[in-house]
Amino acid sequence: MESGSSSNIILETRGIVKDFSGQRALDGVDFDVRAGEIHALIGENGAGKSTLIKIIAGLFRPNEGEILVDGQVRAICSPRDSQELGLAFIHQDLNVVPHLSVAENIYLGRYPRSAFGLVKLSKMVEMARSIPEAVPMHTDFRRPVGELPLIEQWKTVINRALAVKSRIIFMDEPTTSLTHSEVEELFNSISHLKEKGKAIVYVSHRMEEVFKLADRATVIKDAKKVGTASVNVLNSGQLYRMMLGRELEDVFPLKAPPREKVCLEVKNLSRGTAVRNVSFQLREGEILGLAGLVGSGRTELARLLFGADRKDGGDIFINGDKRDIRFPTEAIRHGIGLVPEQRHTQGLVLPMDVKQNITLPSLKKLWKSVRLPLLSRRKENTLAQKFVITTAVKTYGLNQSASSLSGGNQQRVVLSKWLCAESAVLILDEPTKGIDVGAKFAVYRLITDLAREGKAIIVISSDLIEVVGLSHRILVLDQGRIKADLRREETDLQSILAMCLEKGSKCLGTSIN
Amino acid sequence: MEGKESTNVRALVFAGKYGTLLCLFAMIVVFSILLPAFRSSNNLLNLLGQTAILSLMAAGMTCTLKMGDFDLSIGAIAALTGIVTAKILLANGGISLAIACGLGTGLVVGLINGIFVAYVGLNAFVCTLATMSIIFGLCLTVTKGIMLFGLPQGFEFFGRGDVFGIPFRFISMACLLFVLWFFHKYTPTGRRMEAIGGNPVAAQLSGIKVEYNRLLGYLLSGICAAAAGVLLASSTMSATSTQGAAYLLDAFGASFIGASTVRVGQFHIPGTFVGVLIVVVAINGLVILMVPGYLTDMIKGIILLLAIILSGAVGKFVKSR
Repeated sequence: MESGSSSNIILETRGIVKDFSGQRALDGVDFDVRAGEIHALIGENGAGKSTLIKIIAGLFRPNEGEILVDGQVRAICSPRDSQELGLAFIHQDLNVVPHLSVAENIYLGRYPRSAFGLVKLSKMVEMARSIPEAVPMHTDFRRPVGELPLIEQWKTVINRALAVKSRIIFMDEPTTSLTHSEVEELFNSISHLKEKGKAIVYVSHRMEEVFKLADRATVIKDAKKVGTASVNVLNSGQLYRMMLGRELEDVFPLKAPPREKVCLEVKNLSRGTAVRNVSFQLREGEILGLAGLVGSGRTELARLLFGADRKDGGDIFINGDKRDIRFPTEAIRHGIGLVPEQRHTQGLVLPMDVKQNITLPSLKKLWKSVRLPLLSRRKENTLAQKFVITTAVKTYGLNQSASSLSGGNQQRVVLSKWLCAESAVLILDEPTKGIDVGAKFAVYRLITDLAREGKAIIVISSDLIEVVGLSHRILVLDQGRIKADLRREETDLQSILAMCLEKGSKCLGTSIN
Repeated sequence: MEGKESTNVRALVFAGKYGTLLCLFAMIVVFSILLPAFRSSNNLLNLLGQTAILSLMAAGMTCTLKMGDFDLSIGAIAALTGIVTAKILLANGGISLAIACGLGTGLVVGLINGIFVAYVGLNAFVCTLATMSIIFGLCLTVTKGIMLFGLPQGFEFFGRGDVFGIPFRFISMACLLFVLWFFHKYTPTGRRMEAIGGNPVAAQLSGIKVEYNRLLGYLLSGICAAAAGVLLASSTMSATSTQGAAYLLDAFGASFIGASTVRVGQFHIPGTFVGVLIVVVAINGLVILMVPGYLTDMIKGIILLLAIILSGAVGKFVKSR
């Protein structure tokens, strides 16, 4: 796949090794960037991506290996060195001074001075406006950056990089806190940079974004480079294999077939433009994956089913009966449980302990008797203990506070909550977000086991591998609509990815117009 | 070295949890040894009586603080309750009707606060500050700034009477506090309130009606302040529009001392009662020592500040363990 023409390589690392107190963080990594390309750097947390970038930035010195810029070996000892070589680094926290103007932020630390050594804002604004190749900004350059939307702050930082004539811009997980439309605007800006011949190194774990943007991708795993490949849908299988280190079928546990009985049916469910005319059926024991880009309506659909938002139209049937779900209380009563995306802020009451969190949605089960609405400690302990065992939460006691558990164990507690409430339908929004690799596989096993016991499960994940690997059936969402309803046997990762992206490119096109 | 450090840490955690209790104990011991007037049975009974009104106010305050809300209008509610009760008594309406209307007043104000804060979504600080001001204005309008007195003799019992030598107001306060403690600890609603205090979003997504429970908190706060207002009117046998205002700061202080006792960083009724005892014993000792009134105000402010620092800082420290 590689074109082999090395003439346009502007940055290259050869055999980079880095040890941190005996721990090898990078083990002989070769990496190269060509002019005018978007190069994605992919890997799990702790794989070594950020160490590599910090070495290129001059923040760390490598133990072995060399860095070549324009074919010449360079020693990059400080961030100043990397800046002079035309490298710019943008981190998630953006490093802007909120109360300073856009122009001042662009020239931060390098204010142009007049003859008397004074800083003149009007001059600076004029200069900032005429930076060659700048990403267009539709804002007053005198306004404080802190008042602008995040995307404009991003553009400010990109233009800061262009003001010092950077040739390669490194971006670290840029879309993490951007909204859907902001992501598209950022992508437009990145395409703009590419057109102007700049190279972009894009660190991300969201595969849809990588496929939408990148020309080439380098996968780093366990401190080593797995490989570099050109990015297109046709060789997505190769890329996924590189990321996983094995075949998809070997990662995910074996599923039992779903049962016959339909336990949830949705007809023409709608809410504004977020969810439009969604209809589907869910059987007992079935795992339904929701695929689609960020903003395609996955989370919004989940919130509607759970009564966290109000629907505009459509009907929800549970076990064949039409149910009106306006509040989470009603969803819970009808047997729907939601494991929300943010464990800390939405899933758990952190100051409370494990047992109190597990029993929170089902306090009625703790009544001393039907007539006596007081909490029974005995019932609470018995019930909580049962689900701690079912979901295998590792805790030193039911009284351990939820805040002191690890991410994977916290997710088990949130799941236990809904098992305790006897929810028949479980909606899991990003169930493995922020959980380390080993614990992820355990969560997959738990989800598969729950389905085998008859729970109907809806899985939402920005990790397409997860959606495809776990599910019996996959709904591809596109701007709030169901674009396809596919059975796992009938499809593969590649075609679902293609389907997700098809929309994306169209969308990108419309926003340019 | 390491062992020593962990001993220090443990000592610090212990001090954080039980420091306020030790402080209370030390104060009582020192005052008892140094001040004969303090340890007289008369003064000790008097002390118990003095805890009643502040405890009720602070317990009500704790009910809202528990859910991350607060109620600045409790002092004003107490004043208005006293005035409503006194007006009905002076119009020969009878003691039970007067007290019922007084308590009803507290519920109505609590309902208004609760609707505005929980359902309309106004900021708790601004909203209860506004109701506080409105109620004080209302009190002044009704009384024209004049003290209401000449209340019927039978009304005296609630604030000044004894049962087996124990002040009635202490007994009634103790009963109400027990009920509130039991409510928070053993009822599903109490558990829901605690969850809301811990994380309102997670609570809502667990099927808890957050608005309803916050409204309930304001109702509890209102009724507690009203009960305090009735006892206050009875113990002074009068009602004025300024009565009760002074308790707001003390109630805050007691609640925050409570939040730095045993369950650090969380508001709870037994802790609040410890806080009340600290405030009352400290002031009583200072009065016996004939420290001027303006100094006791300063000292109260300092106690409040210390309590807030301790409940926050030590709370964080314990959590990070």
